[in-house]
Amino acid sequence: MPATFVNILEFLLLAWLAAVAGLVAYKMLTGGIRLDGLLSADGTTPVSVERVQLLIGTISAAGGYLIVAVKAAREAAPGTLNALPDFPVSLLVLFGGSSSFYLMSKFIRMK
Amino acid sequence: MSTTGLHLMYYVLTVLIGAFGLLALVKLWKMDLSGLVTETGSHPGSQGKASLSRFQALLFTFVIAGLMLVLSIEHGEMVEVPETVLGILGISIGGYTLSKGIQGSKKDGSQDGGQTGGGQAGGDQAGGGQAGGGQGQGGA
Repeated sequence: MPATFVNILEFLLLAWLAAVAGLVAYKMLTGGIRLDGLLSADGTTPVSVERVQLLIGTISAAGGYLIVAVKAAREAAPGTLNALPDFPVSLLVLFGGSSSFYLMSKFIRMK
Repeated sequence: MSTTGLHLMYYVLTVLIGAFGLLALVKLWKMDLSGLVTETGSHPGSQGKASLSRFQALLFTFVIAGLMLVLSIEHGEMVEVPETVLGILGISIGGYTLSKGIQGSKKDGSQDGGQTGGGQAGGDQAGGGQAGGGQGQGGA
């Protein structure tokens, strides 16, 4: 396949994924996707600690990995990166701990 | 097939894929996505509340799928997924499953409790009836 078409297809795929992500983000911000009770444990209290820390842990893990991956892709020669970069173990431990705390709190709350 | 014919086919394919993508985007825009990260309510018709696990899955899907797409396009073939990335997806999905398990056991527990309570009440009533009839068997 000629390089021009490959470039066009690459652009289309990336633009499509970015557009879907943008659409979801827009709907979340404008209320098109309901986020009521995201931080509430039982629907009565507005915020619970375990949910806030899990949300922070999730955003840190996803954002941290995105930064690591973009950095690895920039440092590698074009076309030589044949695998996704490893997820940093420290982030993995942080995320695992955060999830465990959330589940333990939920279990105790439900008892 | 001649080079011009091949080029024409590539053009048609590219336009077709682009049209499908655009159609999907328009449909997504018009679609009601209000319940995308919401768990259904415990009672039919109730709205439920947003689920952190679903939000987490959505975020990881965009990050990991996006990176895979970019790197695969750059490399020219599908890239490998390391074990640590599978580990983080496992923690996320495992957490969601465990969370559902905890909720399910809570529901089962409350239903069992209600049924047991009703049975005891019935037994007490029966016992009362028997006692009233002068049998003296009690609620057993």
